[in-house]
Amino acid sequence: LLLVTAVAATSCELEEIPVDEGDPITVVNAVMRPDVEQQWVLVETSLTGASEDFNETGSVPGGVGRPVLDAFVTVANASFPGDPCGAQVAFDAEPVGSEDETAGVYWSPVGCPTMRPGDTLELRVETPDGTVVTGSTEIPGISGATLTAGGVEQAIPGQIFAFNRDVDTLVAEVDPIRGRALQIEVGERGNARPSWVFVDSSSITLPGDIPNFFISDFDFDDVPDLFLPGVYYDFTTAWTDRNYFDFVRSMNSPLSGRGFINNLEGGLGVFGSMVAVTNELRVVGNVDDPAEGRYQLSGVIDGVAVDITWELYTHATNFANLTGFVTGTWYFGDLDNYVTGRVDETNRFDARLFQEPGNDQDTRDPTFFLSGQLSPSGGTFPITVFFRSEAYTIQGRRLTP
Amino acid sequence: MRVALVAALSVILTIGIVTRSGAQQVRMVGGRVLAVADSTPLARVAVALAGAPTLVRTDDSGRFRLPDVPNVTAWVTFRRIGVRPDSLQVSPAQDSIVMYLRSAPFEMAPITATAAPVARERFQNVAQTSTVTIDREIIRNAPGFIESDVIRTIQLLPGTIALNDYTVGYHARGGEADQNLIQLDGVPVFNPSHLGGLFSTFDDAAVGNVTYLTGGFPAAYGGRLSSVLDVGVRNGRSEGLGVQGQISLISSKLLVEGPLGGTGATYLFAGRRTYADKVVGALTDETLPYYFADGVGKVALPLSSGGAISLTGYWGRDVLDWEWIEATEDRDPVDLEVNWGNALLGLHVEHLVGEEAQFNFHAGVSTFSTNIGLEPGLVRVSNDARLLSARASLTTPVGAHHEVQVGGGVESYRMRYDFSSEALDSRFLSAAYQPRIWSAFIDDQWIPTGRLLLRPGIRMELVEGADFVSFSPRINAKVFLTEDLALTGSAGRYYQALHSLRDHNVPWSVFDFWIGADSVTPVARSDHLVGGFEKWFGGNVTLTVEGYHKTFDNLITFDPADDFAVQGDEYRTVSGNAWGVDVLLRQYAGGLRGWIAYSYAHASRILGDQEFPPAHDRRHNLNIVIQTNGPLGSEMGVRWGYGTPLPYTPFTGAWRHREYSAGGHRFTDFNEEIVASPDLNSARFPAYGRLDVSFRWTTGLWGGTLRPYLQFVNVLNRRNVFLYAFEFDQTPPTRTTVTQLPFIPTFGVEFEF
Repeated sequence: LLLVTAVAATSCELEEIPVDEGDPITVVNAVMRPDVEQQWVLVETSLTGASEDFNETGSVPGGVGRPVLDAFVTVANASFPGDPCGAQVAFDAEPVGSEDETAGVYWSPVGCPTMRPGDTLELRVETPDGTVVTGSTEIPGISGATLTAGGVEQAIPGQIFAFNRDVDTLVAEVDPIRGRALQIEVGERGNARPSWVFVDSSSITLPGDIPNFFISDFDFDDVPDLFLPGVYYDFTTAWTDRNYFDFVRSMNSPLSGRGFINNLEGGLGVFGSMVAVTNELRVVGNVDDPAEGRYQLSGVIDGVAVDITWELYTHATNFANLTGFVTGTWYFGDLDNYVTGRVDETNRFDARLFQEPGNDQDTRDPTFFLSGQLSPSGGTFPITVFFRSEAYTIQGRRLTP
Repeated sequence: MRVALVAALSVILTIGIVTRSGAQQVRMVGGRVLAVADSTPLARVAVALAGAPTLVRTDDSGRFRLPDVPNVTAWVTFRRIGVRPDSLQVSPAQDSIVMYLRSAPFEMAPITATAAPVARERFQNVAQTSTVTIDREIIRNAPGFIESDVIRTIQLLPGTIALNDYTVGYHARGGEADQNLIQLDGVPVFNPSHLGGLFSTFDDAAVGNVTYLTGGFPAAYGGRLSSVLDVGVRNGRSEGLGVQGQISLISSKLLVEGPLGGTGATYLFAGRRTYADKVVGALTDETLPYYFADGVGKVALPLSSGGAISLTGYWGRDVLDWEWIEATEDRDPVDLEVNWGNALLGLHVEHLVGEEAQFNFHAGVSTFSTNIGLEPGLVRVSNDARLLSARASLTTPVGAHHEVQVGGGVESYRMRYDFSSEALDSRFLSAAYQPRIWSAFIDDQWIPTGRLLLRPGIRMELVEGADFVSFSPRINAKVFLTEDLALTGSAGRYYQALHSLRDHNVPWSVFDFWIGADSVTPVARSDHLVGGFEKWFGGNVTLTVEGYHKTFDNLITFDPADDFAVQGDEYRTVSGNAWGVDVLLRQYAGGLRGWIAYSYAHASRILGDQEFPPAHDRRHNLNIVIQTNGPLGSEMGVRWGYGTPLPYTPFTGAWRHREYSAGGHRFTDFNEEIVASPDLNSARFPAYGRLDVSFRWTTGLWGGTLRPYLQFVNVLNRRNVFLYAFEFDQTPPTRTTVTQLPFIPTFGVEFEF
């Protein structure tokens, strides 16, 4: 294939010319969720080259697009004639508890429509230009879900599930009532863009040391691990209907422009459904590097006494090769989170710490940057904490050899 | 039904091993005449009893039967233009001989080709439309990309469409690429290509004659709807060790051949391997993790009865082995391991039964496998196809006007697909197809009058698993208006139990994924009707004109909505038809030889309620192939091809295929995907044109022969469109043209000792 690419690269001449605008298609994306209080339907149009200003009528969630405004969107539960939500639920409500002002999203009333496993929901979207898009989905259901690792099985959702990524294999399983496929999402705590994978069965096995092939912006030169020790993860187990399964397993070939399995009439996209449970994972690893282990960090930051324990791990596969759980008292109070950073061969390190659970800089308030040189053999070592443009020095100390 | 077929086969086999003998005053002496150089059969050699008027000529396979030879020691003579005349003493009681003749270059024209006698022989004696034979020299001298190539040469014949420069797949008279039966010494080859279709699997140095039938093929052939390509591996030379080789820009080839002791047996082994990976590794710090290699071998033993036993083997592999993720102290490496290839082994026994009949037995195993893996154990996709086949036939004259061939056989297929992840403990796909096809046929070469040749036949097939029984009547006819002009025609019904599971409207695919008929997958059917004429101008020039009409039923095209958990929903059925006219003007020998091939064609397909032209629906196709003396003492090959536009499905926009996060109940990302028009193949690419020129010099070196060559592909640097890529996320939207091969000069050298 490389040779084919080489031949193609040396033999093909690329010539670009402008062409006529394409034909607009109404694109509808909606995933019905019995486990969340409010549903939504995203209505947009396909790209035709008509305008490069995709946000001229508002931005579409999940990336730029061309939203369709003033559409009439209804969903009916065809399996429940007595649905207290009504025979036709109009998606014209305001989003509850959200400041999202994205365009082209149509919200249901809270708690509507009624969704029970096996119910068939029917979607109808009518756009201002008269286009009508319809579709239907059968609501999936599960009677339970579990996580298993290291001989421990736990029903989810439940307490934080711990496993050792160096020796354990994580098994996620659902007990389905109705449905078709399993989607698994793994993201660092609070990460808005998790890695995800789907399988055509009701369970999945994830070796603890599996490389992260499931990340959307995959980088061939730097393939991270899916699980790093010293990190909390949000682990979502979703059981989907057939439409959603078709939506994620198919795509249009760049050669033919065909291949996507479209289950909508009059438009393109998905009207699917799923049920999902999210559980936190606490991933640990073997302590096999001299620098790894537990440290105590204490001192004063901006007049506030801090005292935390840092369960530190190093690893070679990720750009962020330093992680660790941090628990104790920090600047804003109790802390139970993790840090990520880099450490070099001389044990000089830089790391960042957030007070709130998670490690997503985009959504966090104050970031604490920690810098210093670990002393794995014992003794105290200074750590500089940069916080709100000021530098503070606290002390670190190895707790275990 | 199967019992009856087995019984029929048993009868044929029994007949085949019975030989007749008897004390007579005169006898029939049969045998074969082969070339010393490479054991290829010599056709049209005059065989005579010294001092007697009786003279017979050898047929296409070099065989002859000389009647009325006295039962005493006698001399038999052999003569033909292009070979040294020779004679052989035949002892009393001896009734079969094998004669090897040397070439006689001083008697030959400066440039010759061996296909003319074969074609003329066929014209005179056989009712068979739509047949072209080419030989090794034609293939070798046809200009091409980097290396001469059997299938690239076939693509230049009438009725044959190649979608682009990057695939050796071809379309015969409106059929899809999976409708071509491609055989190596009688054993089907599943996917005869390397490097994503850029090269075929056949090493031209090891090839003897190639016979290509584009329609109306006789009852002995089954299993495909549109064409038969019979590639014969030549026998090794019978005298002395022979070594040939070639070094091109992409690969090195070596062929070794010779006699096996004093047994009369010969051997031929040829191997080829690309070496770019080695060169890159030796000269740079980079790695090129791809290569392909193949090898073919044949051992042939002529039998004193005039028959022969031969064993042919082939093995080929494309390999991509790349350490995708390097090892670290925390993680094992992850290798991308991809390999695919064919392998086959075929046994062929020819046995003369008595004075008139000939028994043939073929047995073979042919495999193709594909393995794609992220190792160890992350993801593994595999496909393996295997064919076990055996068939036998008996050809015998019946009365003065019939030569009847009866035969039968069995083909047992097994195609398996597996897509799994050991690491994820998940199996995404597991499917198997195991059609077994029993067949029996009868084919009659009938000469009712001196001016009329008829070839009626019927083929019966039973497809196990599909519970499908078919009867395929076939007939070929030839009416001689003059000694050099004949009207020709044929009609027949054809069935195909194998399908390639792919989107046939995509211009490029690495290889075919085969599935077989079963309780839900249908057997495809095609009816052929062919009519035309063949005219010879002297002994070297022929004009063939044929019109045809074909129907297609139960073709399949891949259904992207295929649910891996369900077997039988992988495809949608397609029907269609094709008609057109093929013209071939060919000069076989002389200072200027080659052909002009023109095709006019219409093809259509019906999928659901939509009728559309298939991707290979080219209205006019012209190929001119000339081989002649060139400058500086070279042999020059010129090929000019022109084809009117091929259809494609235009793109009408793009959409953002979004990624949904269940945890956040929101979209997080998207992939932009192009959207095709619902009207399949409703637009057309520009016309195609390509001029290739090659020069080949022959010089002596150390007692051997050295042949350096230059090839110039697409001399006019015409920008033939391979495909279009569109961008609809900008204003104005744009279309980018990806072209086919531009002007490329290549060179290489062949040697022979």
